[in-house]
Amino acid sequence: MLARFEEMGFDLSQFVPALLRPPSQTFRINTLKGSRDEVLKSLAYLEPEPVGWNDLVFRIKDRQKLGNLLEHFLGLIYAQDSSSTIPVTVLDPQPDEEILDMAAAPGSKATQIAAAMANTGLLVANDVSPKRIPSLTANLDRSGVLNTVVTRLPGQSYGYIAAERFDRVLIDAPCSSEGTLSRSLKALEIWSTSAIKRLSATQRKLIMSAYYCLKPGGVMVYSTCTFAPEENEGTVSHLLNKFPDAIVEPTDLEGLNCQPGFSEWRGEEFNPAVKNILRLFPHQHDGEGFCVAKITKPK
Amino acid sequence: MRSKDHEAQVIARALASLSERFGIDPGYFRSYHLFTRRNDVWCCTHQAGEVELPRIVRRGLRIARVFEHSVRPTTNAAQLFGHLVKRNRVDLDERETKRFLAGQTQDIHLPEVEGGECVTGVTGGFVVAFHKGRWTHGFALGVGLLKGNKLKSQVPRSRRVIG
Repeated sequence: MLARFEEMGFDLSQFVPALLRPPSQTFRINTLKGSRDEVLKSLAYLEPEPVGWNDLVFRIKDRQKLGNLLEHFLGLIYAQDSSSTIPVTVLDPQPDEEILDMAAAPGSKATQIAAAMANTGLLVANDVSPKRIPSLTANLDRSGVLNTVVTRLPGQSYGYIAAERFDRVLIDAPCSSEGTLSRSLKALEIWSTSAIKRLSATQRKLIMSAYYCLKPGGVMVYSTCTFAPEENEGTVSHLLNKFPDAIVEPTDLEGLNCQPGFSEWRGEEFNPAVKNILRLFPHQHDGEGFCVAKITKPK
Repeated sequence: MRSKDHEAQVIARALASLSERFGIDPGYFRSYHLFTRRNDVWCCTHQAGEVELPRIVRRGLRIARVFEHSVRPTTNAAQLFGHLVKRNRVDLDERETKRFLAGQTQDIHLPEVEGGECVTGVTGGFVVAFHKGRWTHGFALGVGLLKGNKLKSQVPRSRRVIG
């Protein structure tokens, strides 16, 4: 893993300590349950500071068991890493739309989407894993979500069963989770170059399925919490090779220290449009490692 | 499979109970799709209620359980629709709130018993517990069963906060 990070151009003396250091705790205000002002008033003692790119996401200085707070019980806040709030911020869901979250468990992004939709329209929160569905439904319940249908299907099948159905699709893909090592070392247990290859193959099927689901003019966000170029630029490039008219949109979020996508990896040149992918590295951004691509289907 | 008539009856009972016991206008739910699973009433948006997809696990949120002699709103419904409650509201202080969230049964002091100003009519049966805390109007914590001065928390085990 370290050799690959070095190959990606990271200075390991800075990158590795940052990767293992827990980022500042952040929470997102759930506007389905309370107003921003009310929640900020009640949590003023934590001295929350806005992250900048999303006015409902806040950092706190001191570490807290956010899950034990009354505000958490009431569903007024969702404890969520700042990086994890970015895909939905980029997706920009709107009220009354039809949106698919293709790999939704445990529900941090699905609940964020539902809140942005103001509990209107339709959100399909899908996850293939029966073990992960209870955490998804528990978080939807706590967050007071009414506009959601939970399904348990392989994400790959959505392209067939719901072609051109959705205004927006989020595909927060299963990945090698290299960016989450500060939270848990569990990713190391499953990490291997063959796992990256296997995950990359799955991601290619998922991103194609997600694109088929989009209405013409629709917007899709593809994200992972890993650094592996095969799982990020490689996957997006695969889509662009199949659908050359798909557009990878540039994203500009206020106060976010991010990097563009890699142009090549181990001799493989990626589609030039992947430079618009947004990459977050823990030694530059106070959050987990993440990669986010915003893709539009032409009308 | 239960008939549509049975489903309509269960929903009507739930809405009537929410109206009688808590003063919640049944018309509020017209903008939502209500349906039943066994004797539970669920609520979702019309789009979520009408969409046809394979392997649907669930739609929306369970809002009430309909028993033979009573209707109990769920914790999630109480929290989401608590602002509509006009009757059978019980305000808990900090200590009482902690016990309530832990799922305990406790003695509470009702305003009318204390001779203080009783904001809402409170009678035995299911009540919605609120915590005013640092907020102007307070937030609904969930549902409790009131017998005399004893309030039994109905917060499900999976949602309880201990300590």
